[in-house]
Amino acid sequence: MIDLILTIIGEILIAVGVFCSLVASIGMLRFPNFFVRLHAATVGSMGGSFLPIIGAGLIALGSDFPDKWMFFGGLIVAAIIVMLVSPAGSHALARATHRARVAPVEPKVTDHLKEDEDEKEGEKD
Amino acid sequence: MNTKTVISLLVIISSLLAISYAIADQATGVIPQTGLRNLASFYLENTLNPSNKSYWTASPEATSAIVWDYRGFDTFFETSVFYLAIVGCTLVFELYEPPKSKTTKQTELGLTIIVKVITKIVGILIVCVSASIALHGQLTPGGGFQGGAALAVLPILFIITMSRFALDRKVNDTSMIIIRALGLCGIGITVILPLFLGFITNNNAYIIQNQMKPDALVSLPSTIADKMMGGSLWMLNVSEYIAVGAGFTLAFLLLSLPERSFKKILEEEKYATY
Repeated sequence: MIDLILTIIGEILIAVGVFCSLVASIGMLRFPNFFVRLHAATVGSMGGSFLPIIGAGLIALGSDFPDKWMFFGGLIVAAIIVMLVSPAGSHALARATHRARVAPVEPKVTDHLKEDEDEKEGEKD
Repeated sequence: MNTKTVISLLVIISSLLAISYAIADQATGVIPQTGLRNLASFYLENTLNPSNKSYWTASPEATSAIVWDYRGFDTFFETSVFYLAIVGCTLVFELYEPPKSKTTKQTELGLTIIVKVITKIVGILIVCVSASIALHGQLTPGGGFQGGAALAVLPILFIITMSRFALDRKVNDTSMIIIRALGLCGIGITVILPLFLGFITNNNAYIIQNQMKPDALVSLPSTIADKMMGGSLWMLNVSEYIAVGAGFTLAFLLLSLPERSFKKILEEEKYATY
């Protein structure tokens, strides 16, 4: 019984991952500029990789492999690494792009990074 | 549709057609035979065969067994080639002297605090994962070289996020050379160990011997605490892990040197009179 529940939860997570990957790819094509596309890419890596990896781990746990805990552990570690690295990577990308001023910061409400940079430049002068 | 789109579409379609023609017409070469070759069936029969231990390796992972046992000499010389490449790398960068005074604060170098913290957390994970790849080499796919290559991701991440000068305070070239030499010593000791065992027990023995052969009754421990260790395989994997990790770290440290740190010396050499 518990095996069946684990397998179903895993399959649901993989289905959510498929949906997120689809949404992310549509977003990458349709969104107007770099920063908004970065958002779509992060949806793809968190929803499209993190969740399916967890789902695959749960399916492995629900089946009757020999060493299924080893598969589960490996997948969980991989998922944690994806979860940690993907936001940090997109943060570094966004920051570098903002500093290089190669993409327009649109649509925006405020731009604290630019305010900080202006303040620093003001101090230098 | 502009010309660029048309050309790229044509390239994609023609390469698809070419590949499908090649596959359909069997133009990819000789189709491999479906049956097992003699060598493959020998490996499959003997790698983990507790009932007939005359040529077994005590390792459930056939790839590691072939790499470090049946084809041990080949891997030994591959390790030597890699070692020589690193030696060449250090020789080329012999000119470099590490910067003595650090005027820039560490916090000002590198990427933002978010990336630095994540790198530190992921660094611990990388060490754990690479060690498990290396230590499980005799049980699951993986091994010393793969583990060492995974470990070498760590210095690259640190160089990118924290800057090279921050990494310089933690590790330096000399310590990496020493660690690498320790790993290579481990490989050397494991390779010669059967000879010592054979000398003590008055038996025949081969270099890089793992388990007993019909004419050489020396074998390294195949199980430790009921876990399959594969005799010499895990020792060689651990040594290779240390050696490859340190070697790649050394190579990345040297390759990430800014040119200006040795450009002056190079210019002096250019105008020197011999």
